Amino acid sequence: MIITAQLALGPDSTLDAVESAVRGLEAAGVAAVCLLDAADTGAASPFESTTLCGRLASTTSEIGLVAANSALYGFPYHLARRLATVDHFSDGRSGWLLRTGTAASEQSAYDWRSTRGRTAELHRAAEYAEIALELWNSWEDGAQYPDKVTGDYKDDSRIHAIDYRSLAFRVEGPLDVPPSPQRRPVLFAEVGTAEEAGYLAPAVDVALVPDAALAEAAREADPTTLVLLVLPVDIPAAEASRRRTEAAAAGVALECSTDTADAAAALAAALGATRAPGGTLAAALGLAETLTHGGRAA
Amino acid sequence: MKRMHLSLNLTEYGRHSGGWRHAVSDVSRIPNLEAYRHAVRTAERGLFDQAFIADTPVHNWGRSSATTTRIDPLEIAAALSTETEHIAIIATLSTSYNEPYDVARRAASVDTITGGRIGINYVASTGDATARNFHRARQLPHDERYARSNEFIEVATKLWANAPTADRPGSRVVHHGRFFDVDAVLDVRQPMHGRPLIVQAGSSAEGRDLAARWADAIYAGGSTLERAQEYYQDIKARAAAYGRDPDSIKVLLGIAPFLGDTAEEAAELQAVLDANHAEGADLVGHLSDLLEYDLRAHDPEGPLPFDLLPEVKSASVSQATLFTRMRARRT
Repeated sequence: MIITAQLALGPDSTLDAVESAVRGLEAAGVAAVCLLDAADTGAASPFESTTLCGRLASTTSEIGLVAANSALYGFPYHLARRLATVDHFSDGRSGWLLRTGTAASEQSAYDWRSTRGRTAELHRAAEYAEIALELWNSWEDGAQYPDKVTGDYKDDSRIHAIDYRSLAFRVEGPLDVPPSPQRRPVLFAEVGTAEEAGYLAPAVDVALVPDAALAEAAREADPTTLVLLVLPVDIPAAEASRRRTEAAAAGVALECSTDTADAAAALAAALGATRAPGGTLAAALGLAETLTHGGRAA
Repeated sequence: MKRMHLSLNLTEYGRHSGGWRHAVSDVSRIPNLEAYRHAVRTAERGLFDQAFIADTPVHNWGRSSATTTRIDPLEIAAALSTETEHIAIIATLSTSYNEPYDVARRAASVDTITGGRIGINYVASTGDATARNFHRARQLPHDERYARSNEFIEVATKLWANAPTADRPGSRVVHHGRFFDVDAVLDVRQPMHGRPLIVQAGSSAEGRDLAARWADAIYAGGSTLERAQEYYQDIKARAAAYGRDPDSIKVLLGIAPFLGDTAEEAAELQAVLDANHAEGADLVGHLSDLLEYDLRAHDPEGPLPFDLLPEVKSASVSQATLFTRMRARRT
C-alpha cells in the first residue's frame, strides 16, 4: 500500500530529531514525507520546508521529499527553481505540497493580499502551479548536452520561453535550470472541501483527503489523480485499513510529528507500506514514469 | 596580528568560464552536486571561511563559453551542510525580485540547518530579462533598485531581530515603507547569531553606500593597488559616516589565481583555460549584456561606440572595472 507521512515540524524539532524521524519513515517503506512548517501548522519552528528538503536530499536516499510551499505568496519562478534544485540533488525524489490557504503569519507579510475569498485563492493557486509546470517543461529533452570539444552545452532552439500572462502573473521564462531527473516534482494538495476538489484535484498528481466523500469528489474532478486518505497516527492498523478501503483511496497519509514519527513508521510497516521500484518519487507512487505537464487552463 | 580571511567563489568547475571544458571536469551531470561538495570540502581543508555563490535568476540566451546553470543558492547551502563543519556559504539573493518575509524565513531555516554558517549577498539585480520572470515588463531605474535594496534589508533585519527564539515567542514587526508593507511575526526561529552575515559587493556610489551601511564584509575588485586602496578608504569612511566602527567591515579583495606546482604549470593551465573560454563564444552578445547596449549592429572589428553607451552603474565590480579599462585603452 502507498503510505506517505505528513510530518508537522514544531517549536522543539531539532535537526537530529527531524532526520531521525525521516530515516525511520524511510526504513518503514513510506513513499514520501511532506514537511509541514509554521505556515501549515501555525506553530513557529526552526525550519522552513523547502530548505529542509535541500538538507534531507543529502541525508536520505529513497524516500520522497515533499516541500510545502505557498501557491499564493512569493514568486512561481523561485518556487520552480527551488524544487528543480531539490529534484536534482535528490535524484528525482522531490514533491511540492501546494499551500493554498493564507496562514495567520502570511496575511500581511507579502505584497499580495488575499482579499477576495477562497475561490480567488484557489484560482490563483491553480495558476501558480500552471506557471511552475510550464517552467519545468521549458527545456526539451536533449537541450542540454555539454560538449567539451565544441564548447556547446545547450541548444537554445530547444529551450522555450513560456510567456505566461494572466491578470495576476506575468512570467517570461524559460527556467534557467536544466531538466531534473524527474523532470518536475510530484504535486500534492490537501483537499478539504468540494470546491477545493474541483480546483485542486485536476491541478495536482496527489490529492490528500480527510474522508470518503472528498475522496469521491477528488476522483470525480480528475479520475487520474492519486487519492490518499489522511489519517491520524494513533489508530490500529485494521481501522486504518478499513477506512482506506471505505474511501477507495490508493493509500494513506499519516499525520505525525517528530515525537510520533516512530508510531507512524510502525503503523506504516503494519499496513504493508511499499515503494514501487524506480528510484523517483513518481515511480514510488506508481505514477507514470514521465510526469505529464498538463495544458493551460485559459 | 590581523587574520587573513579567505573566500571561495563557488561554482562546479571553477570561476574561469573555460573550466568546464578542462579534462578533469565531470560534465556528465549538470548541476553537479558532487563537484560542489568536492569544492567546499577542499576549501574547508584550506581554512577558507566561506564559499560564495553568485546568482541571477534568468536564462542566458545565446552561445557563450560558460555553463550558465543556476540553481537556488539557499538549497545548495542546505545540501552542502552535511559535507563540512566550519565553512559558511554566502548565498546571493535579489532584493528586486524577492519578498523580505520569504527570504527571512528561508535564510533563518538554513542558518539552523548549517549551525549558523549562512551569509547573504544582497544584489539589486540588473536587466529587463530578469524582471520579466517576476511580473514586471522592465527593471526599476537604478536609484530605485538601490532604495528598494535598503528597505528590503531593513525589513529582513527587523524580522530576524524580532524572530522567535527557544526562550521567547516572536514579536510583531510593523513596517509601512515605499516598497514594502509588512505587519507580521516571523514564524521561523531566529538565526544563531541574530541574523545571517551580510556580504556585499558593489562599485557604484549606491553599491558602496549600501555595503557601508549594512555589510559585515565586502567583496572588492581593484585592478590596481591605488584603486584598491581608494576603495578601502572610501568604504571605511562611508561606514564611519553611518555611525559604524570602520573595523566592523572586512574588505576582501578579489583575485583569480591559476595554481600549479611551478610557474610554468600555472601559466600552462591559464593558457588551456583561456583557449577554452574564447573559442566560438558569442562575445559581442556577452559584451552587449554587460554594457546594457546592443552592439550587434556595429562592426565587431571597429571601435566601441562609446558615445552611445549608457552609463553603466552596475553593482558588479568586474563590469565597472572592465568599462574603465576599455575607456583607458581608447585614450
